[in-house]
Amino acid sequence: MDAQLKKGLLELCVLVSLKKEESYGYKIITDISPYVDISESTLYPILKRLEATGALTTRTKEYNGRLRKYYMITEAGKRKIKESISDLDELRRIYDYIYRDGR
Amino acid sequence: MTKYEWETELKKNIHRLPPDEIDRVLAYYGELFDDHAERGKRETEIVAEFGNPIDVADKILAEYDSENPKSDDGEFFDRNAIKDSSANLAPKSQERGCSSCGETNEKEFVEPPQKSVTVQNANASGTGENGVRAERVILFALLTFFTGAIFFVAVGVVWIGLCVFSIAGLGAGLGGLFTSVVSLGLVITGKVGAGLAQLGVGVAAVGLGIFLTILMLKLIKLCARATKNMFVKIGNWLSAKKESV
Repeated sequence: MDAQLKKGLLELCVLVSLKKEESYGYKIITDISPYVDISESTLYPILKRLEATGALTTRTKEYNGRLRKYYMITEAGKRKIKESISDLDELRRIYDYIYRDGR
Repeated sequence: MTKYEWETELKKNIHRLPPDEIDRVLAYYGELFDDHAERGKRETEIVAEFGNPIDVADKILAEYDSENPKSDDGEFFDRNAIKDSSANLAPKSQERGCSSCGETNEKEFVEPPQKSVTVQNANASGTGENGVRAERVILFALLTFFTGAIFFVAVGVVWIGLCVFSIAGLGAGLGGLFTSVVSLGLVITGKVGAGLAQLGVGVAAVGLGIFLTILMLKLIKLCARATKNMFVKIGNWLSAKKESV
């Protein structure tokens, strides 16, 4: 898959995994792994980028005697998901076209 | 690789980053490591899943550099300058709020940061499109030349030995079979003593042959796997292949 396309989709998936409740690194990977190939090293820059663009915030909480970083989606992040969903309709039309007529 | 070795290698390769960024990276991987360990995975398994620490470091450096372009790179623009100019040109985007501003800027950033990343990668580590590290190939060639390719000669000798003993095993088996048949003939024609003695030798030879053949088959399988692994590891090292995305 095109690298930029995948990157954008991964960012969205991460945001979606945070939509209902805050999450942390390991859980994010477990939650979206069934849908898309993601590794620890791929997730790190995505989380950094989403924080830099204000789509999520972080806080550190103690868990089992160690520190764990939790990620929470922001209003801006939720807006980003909503806008991208309308993009997905177009994406699905394009996908259907390529899938149908490209084979 | 142990956790300590993996972390040390990673630290070594990202040492040029600012210290608080290094701390963030180590905290991130440390946390993930503990989560994996909590679920019973072994240390070596976990770092294997993380991947080659050099590749991980490269990813981190590449992302960091594209988000923080060097100030003396004339062709690559300042993020803030772009934000300001796009805000002036498209006042409508401001109505929709920050997230779409971010998105417009992101689309404009899509092309140039990619180029800067590629240039810096090429400069930093000499990787081409296919990821072959030139300096490693040179190092490997020099090592091979100066050690007189002793290692590879040794591997060749091992394989020749395997072949020789395999043939010996087959030879013993066949020879023993033939001898046994002939010795039966001796017994039948009345030379029982000689015949039995020869039969004994024949059967023993067959036994030795079978034993050698089975042994060689097992050894050949083992050496084939080991040789394949060796070449794969060398190939990976030369081209710094990513073991996991």
